Amino acid sequence: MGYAGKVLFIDLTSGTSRTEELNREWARLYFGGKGLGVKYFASLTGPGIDALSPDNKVVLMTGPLAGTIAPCSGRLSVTTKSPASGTILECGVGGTVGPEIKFAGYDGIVIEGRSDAPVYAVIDDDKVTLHPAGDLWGRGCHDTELVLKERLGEEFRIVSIGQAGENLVPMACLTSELYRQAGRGGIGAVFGSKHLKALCVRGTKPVRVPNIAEFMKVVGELMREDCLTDTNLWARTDGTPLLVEASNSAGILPTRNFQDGVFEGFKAINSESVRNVRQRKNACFACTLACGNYVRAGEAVVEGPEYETLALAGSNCGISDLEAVIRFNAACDDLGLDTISAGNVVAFAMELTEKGIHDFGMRFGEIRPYLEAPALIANREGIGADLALGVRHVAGKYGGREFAMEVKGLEIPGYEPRGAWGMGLAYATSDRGACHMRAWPVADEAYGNIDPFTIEGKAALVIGGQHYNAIKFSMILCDFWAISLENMARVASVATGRHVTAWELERAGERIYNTTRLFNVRAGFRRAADTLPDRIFKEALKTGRAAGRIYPKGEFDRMLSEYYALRGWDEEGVPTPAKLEELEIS
Amino acid sequence: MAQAERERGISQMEYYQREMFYRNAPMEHGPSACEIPSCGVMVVLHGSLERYAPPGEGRRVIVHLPRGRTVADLIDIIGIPRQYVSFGAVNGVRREMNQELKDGDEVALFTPLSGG
Repeated sequence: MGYAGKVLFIDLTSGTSRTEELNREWARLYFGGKGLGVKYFASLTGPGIDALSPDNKVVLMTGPLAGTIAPCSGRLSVTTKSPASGTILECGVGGTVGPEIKFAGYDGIVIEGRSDAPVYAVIDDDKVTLHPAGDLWGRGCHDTELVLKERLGEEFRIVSIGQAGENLVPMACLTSELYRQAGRGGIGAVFGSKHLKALCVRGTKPVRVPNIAEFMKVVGELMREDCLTDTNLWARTDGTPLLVEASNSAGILPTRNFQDGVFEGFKAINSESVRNVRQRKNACFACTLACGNYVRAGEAVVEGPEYETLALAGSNCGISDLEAVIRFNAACDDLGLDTISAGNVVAFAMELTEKGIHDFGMRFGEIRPYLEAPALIANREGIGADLALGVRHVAGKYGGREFAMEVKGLEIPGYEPRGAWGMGLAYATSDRGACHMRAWPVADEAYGNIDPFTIEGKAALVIGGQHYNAIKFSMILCDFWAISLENMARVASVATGRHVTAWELERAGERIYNTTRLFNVRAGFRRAADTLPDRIFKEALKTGRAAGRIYPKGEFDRMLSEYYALRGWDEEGVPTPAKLEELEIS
Repeated sequence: MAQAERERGISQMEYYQREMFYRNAPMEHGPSACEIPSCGVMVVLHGSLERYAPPGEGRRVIVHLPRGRTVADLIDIIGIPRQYVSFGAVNGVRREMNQELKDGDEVALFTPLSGG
């Protein structure tokens, strides 16, 4: 119960599709979403595959709560191998497409092979068809989605790529509902390599739970008592832009390519400024928090900008003009570009230019070249030919390696590690390169009451966060509901019809994290890759709460060893056979 | 529980409005303004904390309180349950709860935050 019981396989090479029964044993161990997605992906592919070859696969996975009224459950998990980092890559996207896949009768979809010519896939309940997409190739995500909705019907839910994905840019994302992204690691480029322009889904089937009265009772209680409280309602009143001022106050707002943690122009891009141009709120399927903000600034309209965009494409580029950030955001959304990586690489190019290392024709705070960058990157034209390949590539070609702000080739999100040491460990040990979604210790370090400038207790804090998020994104629940594992177990129990405990969920989180680690180890990643850029270890921040701080490399190394030991991994970060056996990982 | 807290918030808010009217501090928070000169601080109630502001005030409110009061005192005076404030920033920099407030300070209060 809770599951549709089927997984759809679409083979783009042969143009055929088939269904398989859901692997119930894996569903018991991994629940859904991220967990089940990475389990399917790791079982179907090898770690040595080329991310942009037909051997790579894309696994879209829902969870037992998808399509129900459980709040914050309207997400979809997408797993593949990253062309940016070479690691396993799992991304989440909100909106309505996840539940729609469930309504069509599938727990997940596996996309295999490569089509000779561009196509889009249409999944209309049991009917699965591929259609030529030659007329859509070269068009942005917004156009693509609007054309397909007009062609197929308004009720179809669509995931598409823009020019960035078509051009195999390793920071290309998937876009859904015009403004929602599975953003990181170049998942859009994998779609592009398969010549898959879009996936369109319509479902008309029910989602079943074992006892509807019991389900409604538990979900209602949790919604009233746990979800719609002051702990979560910041998402409704503000959404993520609230983090701009919070991070700036805590001295961890990336500024001018992570040269500082405080931005003097933060008031122009903080939540109050976003609220001034907000037109209305928006929510994903079944969400009561509604974190989305539709804004308009001049001609630019966007759902956003989210904190990560305001930080990486705002303060980190020295931009204190909200309209410019909104225009940058809207361009990236349409072109299908990840704003975190795009903001980072633009900031890096600005610093290289200012330092005289290479002239990219852009400096911090200059709006014109900044706004020209997304199209150049997505089309790999001019300076975009290099910038499209990410910070690591640009540093390798032109220099500036010590301030190339990436981990494993994935650019760093919006929390400065010198002002939150646990966050540095979270970036270093994330399963897809620098990522803020695997553990978020800044909640305690920067915004809570744990000392940010110590390694004491941080390894355990990060591990706990990694397990918690792994199972939360497997259920699939949104990040913005700070639900306890006990309450997660209650809702998992009424959705699946078997008694699920908090301990079991924590354990599943550990299993999922070890499964992704094992894939990465087999792909060649070891301790040396679990690190941070030199700037973090050697350059002190200038202003704010963390002024004068570096993150001592010796402390970081000690914490990393402690982290491995607590995890039952060896000194190189390889899970031991005993640990894998204990977690039932094969 | 949430309902009960809401009610508590509202009654505290009325109390706080009355206090605003008299530009005075309540006795349980210390001597009145007649004895110690008061200071005015601009409070920014971020996120859902804005519901603790007087109706129609938005999230920015001016609060007068006796000199020598701290961020923690301010939170109590406004009537926000402590667990709903993760931290306060004074003039744009995060400070401890025992930070003493001065006339003209801007104090931003944040709820616990999750995700990102």
